[in-house]
Amino acid sequence: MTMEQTCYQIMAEVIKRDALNRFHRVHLLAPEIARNVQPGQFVCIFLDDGDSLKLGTSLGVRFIMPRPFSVSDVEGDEIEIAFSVVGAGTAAMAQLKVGDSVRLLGPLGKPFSWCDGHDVALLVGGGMGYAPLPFLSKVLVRMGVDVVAIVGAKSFDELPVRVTNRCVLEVGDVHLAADEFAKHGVPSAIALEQPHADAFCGTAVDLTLSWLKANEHRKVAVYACGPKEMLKCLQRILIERAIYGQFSIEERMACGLGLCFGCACKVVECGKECYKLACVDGPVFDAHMLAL
Amino acid sequence: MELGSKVPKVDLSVQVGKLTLRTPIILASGCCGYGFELLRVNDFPWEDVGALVLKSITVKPRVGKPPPRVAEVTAGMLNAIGVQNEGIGAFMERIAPRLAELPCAVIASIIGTTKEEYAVLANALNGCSGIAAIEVNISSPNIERGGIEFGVDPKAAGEVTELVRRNWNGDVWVKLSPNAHDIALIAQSCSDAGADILVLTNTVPAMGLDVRSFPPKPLLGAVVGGLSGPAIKPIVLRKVYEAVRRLRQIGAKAQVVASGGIWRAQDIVEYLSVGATAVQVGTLLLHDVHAPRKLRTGLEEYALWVHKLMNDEKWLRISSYIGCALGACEP
Ligand SMILES: Cc1cc2nc3c(=O)[nH]c(=O)nc-3n(C[C@H](O)[C@H](O)[C@H](O)COP(=O)(O)OP(=O)(O)OC[C@H]3O[C@@H](n4cnc5c(N)ncnc54)[C@H](O)[C@@H]3O)c2cc1C
Ligand SMILES: Cc1cc2nc3c(=O)[nH]c(=O)nc-3n(C[C@H](O)[C@H](O)[C@H](O)COP(=O)(O)O)c2cc1C
Ligand code: FES
Repeated sequence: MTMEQTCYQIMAEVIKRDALNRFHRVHLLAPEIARNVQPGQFVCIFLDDGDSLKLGTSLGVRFIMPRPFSVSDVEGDEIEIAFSVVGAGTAAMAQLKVGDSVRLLGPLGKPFSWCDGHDVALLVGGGMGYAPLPFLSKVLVRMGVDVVAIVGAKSFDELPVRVTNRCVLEVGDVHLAADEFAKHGVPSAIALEQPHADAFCGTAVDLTLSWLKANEHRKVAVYACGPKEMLKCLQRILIERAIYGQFSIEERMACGLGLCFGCACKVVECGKECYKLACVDGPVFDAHMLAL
Repeated sequence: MELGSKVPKVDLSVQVGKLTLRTPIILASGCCGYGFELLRVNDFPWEDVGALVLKSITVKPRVGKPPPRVAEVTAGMLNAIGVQNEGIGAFMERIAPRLAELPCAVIASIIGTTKEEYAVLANALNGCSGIAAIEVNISSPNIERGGIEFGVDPKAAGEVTELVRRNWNGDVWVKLSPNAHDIALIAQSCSDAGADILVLTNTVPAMGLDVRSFPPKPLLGAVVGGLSGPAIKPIVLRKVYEAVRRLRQIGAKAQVVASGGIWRAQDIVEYLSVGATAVQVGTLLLHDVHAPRKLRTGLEEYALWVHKLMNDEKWLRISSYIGCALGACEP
């Protein structure tokens, strides 16, 4: 067994906050995690106050399980989390103010990896699933890899990224890019299912397919994260075209550390179906081995 | 406190069967993996952990239940893991030889689909030096045959206990189900069959639905599972109380270890007060890997408070608290 990465439980202070509709970004001061985390890895946020165990204090029993979030960027000693409000936990997180603290566990999980021999990395994010990709794009660019990105959403209002007309990926008639990638110098394009003058009309997978067709001469590695349906369609394309890929997937978690066997996801290994743990074997998996 | 006066030291050690534990805090089966997973946690409070119970082992490998396997509910969580494990063969080969590396006592948990399987498992573990005791799981609600079936039937519970007793040289711990109609009877039956320790209890069979989709969808892939966490503590406290009373009535020497919903130090005090010798912490460890330290600190604070209140050195020893409320609990 290889030496496992050390993981830290810390109280992290909120340094910066911003929000766009139901999409939020939080910068947390987490030096131990910021220094060690790699793209694709995640942290668990525990919403109960770390001192609720003290004698006499009130019981914090509302949020028993952790909320896992990918690290979407790192700046110095800070990590950035980007999230959307979907339930009680993320609604509570949306109330976090600068100066508040949350209990964090991380870095957790297996990161994305770059496979030599490929010409270009194509990053595909479906909705909020784009979250781990900006950090990945930054690190790949630093390694000298050619990187492009695609972000899809149902409509302009459902877009979790900030749009820009800088650094637009040349594909079809698209004039909108995501600032989260532009700031790392990575060209990107936006796909919207509801027609919009400046975006590709269709899903992220549709746009991926047209980009792949226009770039058939290149050896592409695909990195994706998003809804299961999207990953399913994308996996079919990768299999048909024999393209290498890595997907980051989501499962409910109770520990994030491999203690509870709660985060099982089905994979096919040597022709046999079995379960792997999303928190320690993933959340990043070889796209071809997932039984989606 | 006056300047220069020393805070008295609290003795947290307890004697559980043949084992002397440095604290009464034991990590519960299924909530601490195989122990090694905790080695990567920075600053993990090993010094505050008395022992840990490994994830339950079966004879044959089990793939486990379909996801989602866990879900959050009010003051607790549901799980249906389905005892995913690679079977006793792989355990003996890959995990058993490394157990000595763990910085606390290790207890192995076994679960069978038939009575004979328990005997096979117990026998196999005799070859493993890193194991201090066996915990016999006759209470998991997440296995199709066996498990809880034996835990709700006094006769079957006794038979399984006896089989393990005959095939294993060390202490036998038997983990009971809160679903037993009369837990005192099951405890008595296991004790008569040679159990050294009774662990009360496993999760409470339960289920939940997500009403955000319609028709509402089960929260668990397996539909039904077990409830753990603070929600079950008052239920399990009563079970512990009932079992302890019976064991004391019949003069049995078997001890009780409590497992259910411990969330802070005062929960441990409650369990010890009704006669538990030690406690197991499951869901709380998943919720907070530093929990053992916080629990230990809380226990020390409590003991110091009682010591001052009662003005008696004995209350600085945690073992003194075992059964201290039984008098007050007489109906
Ligand atoms: C490895 C990983 C990385 C993730 N990264 C991000 C991210 O960067 N940004 C983001 O917005 N979301 C991310 N998610 C999803 C995020 O964890 C959930 O949206 C969040 O837990 C929902 O909590 P809630 O209390 O608001 O929702 P509720 O539905 O009320 O939560 C109920 C329970 O289900 C769990 N749960 C609900 N949805 C999910 C889900 N999709 N995946 C896992 N558990 C879930 C919750 O943690 C909680 O225990 C990630 C999930 C995983 C597993
Ligand atoms: C995710 C999970 C997995 C569990 N797996 C096992 C198991 O394999 N064997 C067992 O005897 N108990 C198992 N349990 C039960 C716990 O050991 C413990 O008895 C129960 O959860 C009640 O304690 P708690 O409220 O402190 O969690 C499991 C519990 C949880 C939450
Ligand atoms: S969340 Fe507990 S094992 Fe993955």
